[in-house]
Amino acid sequence: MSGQTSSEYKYIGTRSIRPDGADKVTGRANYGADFFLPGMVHGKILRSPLAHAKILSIDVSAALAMPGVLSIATSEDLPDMNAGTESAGEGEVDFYDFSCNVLAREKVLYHGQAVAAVAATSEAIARSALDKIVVDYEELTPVLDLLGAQKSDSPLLHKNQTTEGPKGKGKTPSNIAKQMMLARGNVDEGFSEADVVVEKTFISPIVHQGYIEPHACVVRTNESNQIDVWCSSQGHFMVRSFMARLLAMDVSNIKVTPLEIGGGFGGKTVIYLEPVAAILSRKAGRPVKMVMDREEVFRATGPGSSSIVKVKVGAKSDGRIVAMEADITLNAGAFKGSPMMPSMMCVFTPYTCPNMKVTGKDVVTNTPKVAAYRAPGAPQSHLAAECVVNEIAKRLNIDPIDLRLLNAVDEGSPTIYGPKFKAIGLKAALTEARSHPHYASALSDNQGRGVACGFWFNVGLQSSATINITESGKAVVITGNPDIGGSRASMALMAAESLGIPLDQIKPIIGDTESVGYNDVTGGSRTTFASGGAVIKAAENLIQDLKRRAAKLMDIDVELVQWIDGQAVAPADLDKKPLSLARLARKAGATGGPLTATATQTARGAGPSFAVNIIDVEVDKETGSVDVKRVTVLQDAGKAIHPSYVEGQMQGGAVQGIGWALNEEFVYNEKGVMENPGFLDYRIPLASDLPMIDTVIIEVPNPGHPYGVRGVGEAPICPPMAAVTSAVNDAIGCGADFQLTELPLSPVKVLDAAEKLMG
Amino acid sequence: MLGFHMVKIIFASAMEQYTRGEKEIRINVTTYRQACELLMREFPLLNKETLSEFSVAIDDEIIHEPLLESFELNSVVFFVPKIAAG
Repeated sequence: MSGQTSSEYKYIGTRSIRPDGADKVTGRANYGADFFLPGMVHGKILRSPLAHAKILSIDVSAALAMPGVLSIATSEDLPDMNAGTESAGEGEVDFYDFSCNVLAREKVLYHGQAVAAVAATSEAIARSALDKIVVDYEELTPVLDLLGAQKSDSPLLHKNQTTEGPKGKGKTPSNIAKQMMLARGNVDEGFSEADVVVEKTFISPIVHQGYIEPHACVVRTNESNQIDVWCSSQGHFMVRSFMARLLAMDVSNIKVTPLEIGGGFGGKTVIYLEPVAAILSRKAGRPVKMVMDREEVFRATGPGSSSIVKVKVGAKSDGRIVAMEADITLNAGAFKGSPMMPSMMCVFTPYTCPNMKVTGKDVVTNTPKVAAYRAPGAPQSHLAAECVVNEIAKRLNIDPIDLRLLNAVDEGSPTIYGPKFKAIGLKAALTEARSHPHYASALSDNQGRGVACGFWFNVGLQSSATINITESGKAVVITGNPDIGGSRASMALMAAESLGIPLDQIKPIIGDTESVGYNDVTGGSRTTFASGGAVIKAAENLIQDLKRRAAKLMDIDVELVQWIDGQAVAPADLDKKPLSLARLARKAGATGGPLTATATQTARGAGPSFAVNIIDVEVDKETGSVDVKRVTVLQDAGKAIHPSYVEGQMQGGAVQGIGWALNEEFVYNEKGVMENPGFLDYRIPLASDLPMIDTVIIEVPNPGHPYGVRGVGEAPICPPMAAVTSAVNDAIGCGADFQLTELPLSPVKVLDAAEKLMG
Repeated sequence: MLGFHMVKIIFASAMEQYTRGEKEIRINVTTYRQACELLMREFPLLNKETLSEFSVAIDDEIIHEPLLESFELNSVVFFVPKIAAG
């Protein structure tokens, strides 16, 4: 289907001009750092110079005495918190840990952790004041190695943390926060039946989401204990909830206005600056602006987890996979809570294999607390699983796509975490991949090809939408999710389709926390699905109201009125002129007042996504550098509401996955200090590094959405690391025994592996 | 029990610490709320907070907020870890 406009719909599936485009390309759009208030002062954070230390004392007196310094915040200004996880929004949060990550208490657990903050009349004064704060530390040995952290003699980050496992809490303190297992069938029996077994361990580094806009906010407090926040985030309701919890306030006392967001990819589903700015503002009596610099973003915000994943797969000689086993260790950073569970749940989900066992460990180290990064945990585990499946294919001399088709899940297949799939598009994506011209193209010398697939659940959660009709008949569609990937355009398209009015009669806007009902974060590929669903419901509610009003004006029974192409239409034999939305808007005063409709939902029926990649690379055997030659990404997007945005998500995910495979990593020295905290040394792929990425949208409609939407943001990052790694191993001639198993595949590693193969 | 359905409840592995290692149980209930009450009686270590940490999949549909859900005859109910995302 490749993103062609579907004749089934008038607006959905078209490539409309993005409503926010002109403001963004002309610089008019306001991002986090662009916002100013009268009387505003500047806040700066003092960060830990050590990766692991006890805080013995903090003396702020000299800083506070400086002219121009208005307030100082430390953890003593934060309310006490009880340790322990609790439900908060999408998942579990330990607010004691969260509070320590906002401003350190007792210990610092990574280099760059926030220790204190200053608000001053200028940024320069605030920076100078940070130098006057005296912190007395007792330095401790940093724990940086994911394997070493698990040893019984490792220094401990948290003296009270024991391992939570299927049998309960452990007795001894440990850096292993959690240990879990999923299983079905009997893997030992499965492996005993296998004709070929491959077992390999793959390692991936800590990586950053690479959003371009640093975290920024402006916070104003007043004498009535009201807080106004302007910030860039993946969810202003999330900001409100977390601030309220961290500051022990009622959410009703906090209003958050979203500004444009310059990328997040999961990294802006948490907060760092806003509670600190609130404390500083409260003490200073002035609005406070805080903006991170790039170095702070790298050192002190949540990256994606590093991982060690061992995978073992057994197959019959005909290609049927009979046993799959994985042992997944993910780095949580300084506080528990890596995406271990989704990593475990995704690793083998593309396969029907009857015997599976997956164990997982959540391990803390003296590195920043990780945050979500597109399909959190899944790319790391897919890296190992998909590479091993490719090795199996090579050993059995079976085409890797054919092998996957033979073992691919379909409607009715069970997942390792329980439920069976409804309609899904993995087989359709694999079939399209097999027949794609890319797959039939020849490779040149020193080139290799890798294929891989990936899975993400997609989620629903809570959304609200309001549609207000102006006096002239335009529809203002208000939702509460920051537009991070084109949601204004998709909301407008769904509203136009539902109301039957032209797209230029729709104005999509993002409401603040007091202008629209609650919305969960923009994440999990949920916004087009769930908030779009709320827009559709609001449109349906509005149409019912419009029909009632039209019936009054036509003086007929409401049951006789139909809503067709944006007009209320009476049966032809009644000889009544249709009433357009504009006409009904003009008559609103006489028919019951302004036209407005609202809908809310906890969306159900989220449809999972599968993605498939074909990636060709060329290896320079003299330097070890890898050139990506051709990339084709295929994904079951459900109905593509705006195909260009869907393709953009697919291409963006592929680029991030390729960067993760080839270039990106947090490099720490032995003291736990990151040595590459900037985009010069932390190298994300540039447009000039990559070929045009070919996209194929597979549209297997999600039965759980009125237009068949699945959501597209997560799955595209799942296959690229495995596809690139397989392609590079292929290019250097590894055959059925991959030598390159540790990312990133830097020239040195590639050269070493190539030379080893040549003996 | 008249009016109640036999429902199969399958626990997430993270719940086995509270269920004495039991992986699944069959109970006579018609709603999620009744199921929770019965499970908390059967397994005293399970409490409301623990149960709220999980989504449920009822007959293959994952439901994030299942409080008011009801079950069909022979429904299969999985407790599933809540999924957040980026």
